Amino acid sequence: MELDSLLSLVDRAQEMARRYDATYFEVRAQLDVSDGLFMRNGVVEAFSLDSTSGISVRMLVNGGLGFASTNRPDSLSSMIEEAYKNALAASKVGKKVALSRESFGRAEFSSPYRADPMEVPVDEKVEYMKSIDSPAAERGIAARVLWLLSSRSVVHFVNSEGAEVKGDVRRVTLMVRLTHISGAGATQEFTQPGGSGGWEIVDGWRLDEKVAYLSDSMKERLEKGVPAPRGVKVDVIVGPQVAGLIAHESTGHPYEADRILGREAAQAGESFVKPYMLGQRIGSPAVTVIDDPTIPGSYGFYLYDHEGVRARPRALMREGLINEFLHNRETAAEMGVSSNAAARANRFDREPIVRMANTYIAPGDVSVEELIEGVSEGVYLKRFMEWNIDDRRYNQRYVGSEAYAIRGGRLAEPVLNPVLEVTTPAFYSSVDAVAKDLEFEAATCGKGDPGQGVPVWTGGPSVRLRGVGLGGT
Amino acid sequence: MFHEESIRLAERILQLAQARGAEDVAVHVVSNRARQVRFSNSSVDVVKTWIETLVEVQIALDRRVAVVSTTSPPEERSLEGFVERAFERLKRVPARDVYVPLPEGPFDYPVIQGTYDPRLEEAQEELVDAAKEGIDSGLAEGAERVAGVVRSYAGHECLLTSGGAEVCERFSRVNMEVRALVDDEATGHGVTCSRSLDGLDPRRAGSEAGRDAVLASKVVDLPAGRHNAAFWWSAMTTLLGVFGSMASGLRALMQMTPYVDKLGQRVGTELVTIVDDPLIDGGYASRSFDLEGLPTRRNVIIEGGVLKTLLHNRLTAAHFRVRSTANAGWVFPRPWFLTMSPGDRTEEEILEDLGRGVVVRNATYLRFQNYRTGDFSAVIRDGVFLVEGGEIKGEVRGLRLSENVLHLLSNVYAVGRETRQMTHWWAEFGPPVVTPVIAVRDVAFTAATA
Repeated sequence: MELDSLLSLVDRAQEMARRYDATYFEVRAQLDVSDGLFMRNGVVEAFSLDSTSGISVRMLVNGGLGFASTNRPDSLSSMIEEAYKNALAASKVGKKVALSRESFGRAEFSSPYRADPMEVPVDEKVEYMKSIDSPAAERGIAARVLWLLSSRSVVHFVNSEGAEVKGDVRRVTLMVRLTHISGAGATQEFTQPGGSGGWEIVDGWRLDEKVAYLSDSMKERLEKGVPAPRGVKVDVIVGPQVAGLIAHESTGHPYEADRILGREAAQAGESFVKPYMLGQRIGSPAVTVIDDPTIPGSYGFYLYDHEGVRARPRALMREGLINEFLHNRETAAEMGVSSNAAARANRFDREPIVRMANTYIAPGDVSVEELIEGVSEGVYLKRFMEWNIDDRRYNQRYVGSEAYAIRGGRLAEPVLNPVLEVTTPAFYSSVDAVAKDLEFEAATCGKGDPGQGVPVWTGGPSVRLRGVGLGGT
Repeated sequence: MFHEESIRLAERILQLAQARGAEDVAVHVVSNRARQVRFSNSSVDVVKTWIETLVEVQIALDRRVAVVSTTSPPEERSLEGFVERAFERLKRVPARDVYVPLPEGPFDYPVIQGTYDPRLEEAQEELVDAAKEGIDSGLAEGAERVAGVVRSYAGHECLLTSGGAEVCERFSRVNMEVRALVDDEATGHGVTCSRSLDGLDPRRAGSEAGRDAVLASKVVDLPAGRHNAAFWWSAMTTLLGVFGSMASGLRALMQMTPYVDKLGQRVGTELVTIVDDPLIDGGYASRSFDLEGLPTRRNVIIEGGVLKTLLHNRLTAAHFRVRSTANAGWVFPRPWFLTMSPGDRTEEEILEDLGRGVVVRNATYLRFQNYRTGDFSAVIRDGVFLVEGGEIKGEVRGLRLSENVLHLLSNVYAVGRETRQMTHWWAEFGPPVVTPVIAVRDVAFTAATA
């Protein structure tokens, strides 16, 4: 569907929806277009161009929630009838859904850009990718896989309470995965910078330097790496990439109110965090975790969510205390608060559910060198490959890729695959210092059913943990 | 004719692309009406409907390949613009070093029975009833609350290629997952899936989830370490998905699988036979064609523990100087419907043989430390039971599966005789499967150190 014809459907759908006795309805037209380049070992395997566009309606009828979507203009009326019937069916057997009271109006937002990433010539993009591939190729890295994705998401949202929001966000991200093989040994790395805005943001990534660094580090650890300590308590410093992931997995996700209330129980799971834990201590005073959709240029950028609510920074953990949960209007009403604009849908045919945007551990005021100087014996787990966390977001595991021993306050030899397997309270309680080297990586956060991958930043500075056990296998 | 509109659409796109000089074109059109009922806390949260048409096109121009997808099919102007944009960009992409054309017909497609139930076109009430039955069955077993989802899909998909493929098939699918909870940590999981409404068994899914949740409410201790373990159906859905999808030829080219350079070699015990079999009548993921137009076929990936083939599309096959195995997705060759051959053990015998061991009912969130070596870990849940003397003693909390693909396959010592057709909401690695329960020696489990 072309953008103009898509957006013209919103008024028609709104008119049709008004004919039903719904207590609430919303209409969302959404266009998501992307082009991708998939390069393996310097050769473009394929170019992709994807467009997903259509319209959805959500209705509340007698407290029942119904959703329907279509990408066929000739199905508009049957889509709305389906949403009504679905809401009616849900009202007979379902819980009574309420939505928080919010103030709405008209608003527009976009991500400023100089060069539209969707219009940059493909050969320019290929040349850029080759410039990223080359440092790894020159260093003998056996397998290099790069996937460059440029995208644009246009949303036109209206609801029966007077909201009308138009959003238009462009994004660029490049996923890099490297495999170095030496003799019988193999090691891997990945990195993914990304952001919203124009093609010009790639200049700030300095990704060629990073790929050169990662390649050297992979070679070094296969040549000189020693087994990581196991079953001992040592001080551990996690690097920004690891800290960012931890903020996302063990603060962001468990603070999602739909998980807390059980709505995701069948799939992604619930949360060890309960409503009564607001204000309770979960970490040391050194830790503050923010989720902020409004960061200009961020990969998870938006100013209004997909329920038309104005976005703001959310301090999920403030100086070690559980401070705020992430809400959409449904969970906010259930907990008696206002939405903090965490409702996101990754495409037109998905319901908006509670999501993160840009989640990060707030930086401290010391350098990473000062963190290292304060460790007599420990491990610097600078980057990771493997991770997972249980569905209550309590028990998690991060396995280092780039990692070093620390002795006498100085970095020593590389260590292979150190395992940090730890509970969420244990992790945050053991933090004694946070550095100022805040960095962000782009990621696609998965949740929901059908699955919805949404763009996010994970961010963190280097973080020092005192006396945590390193695991094995 | 159900597919006329889709074929007309595909023909228009094929003509548009060929008029612009494309040497190879494949057009895939999927028209689908899908429904879903989600529930949690023993109550329906939302009911959804999707009415959608998806068009995917592969275009090759002078050894360059583009994959184009759009949900914007019906408008001529939009289609032309989309194809035109693809061409503008494709002309600027460097040529591939290895290229072979799409397969040339004529093709003789297999006829697979039992893949379409028209009732699933309009099954909203039946899905809501299924949700209620799953909830009630879980509660009847003693669960405190029940969550889950019922999904249905019905429609048709067509493929038209410049190589002469013209094929359409109707499809319908319905599946349900139920998760029962006794408290925050005692959970059970049940699955039912079918191509027809009659094949859905919400009662069984709910009852199994409820029973396991109750069993899991008794907590016992077992230290992390190596234990014999039996992986039940849901856990096997994730693991078999990994065992099979690691055979993708593109993964081998990317050094992203432990099967690199292992063709013809032993990668598992003799009990391990894994087949990608999209030809099973009534099979949840059975299908008659791949996306390059080849008729699908039964591919034996691992036979008696020996790696027999990787899975290929025409381009990865050319790299390896073999023929396509008819597993073409758009870029990644992929398995369609993984099956593991059954063994001769009943579930009771598998429990008895475990000695002091662990039963793992479900596994999710599987992540690799190193795809090349096969090192990974996964979250295990919905019943991680200590078994002694053939009996479940209670649930072990806080364990994680921390393993290696080749180590697991090489230590399979028993395979169950009952197989189940399974789906899994967490399907990052694989398609639906038909799987038995398996038992594996010396499986590594880890736990948090603090």
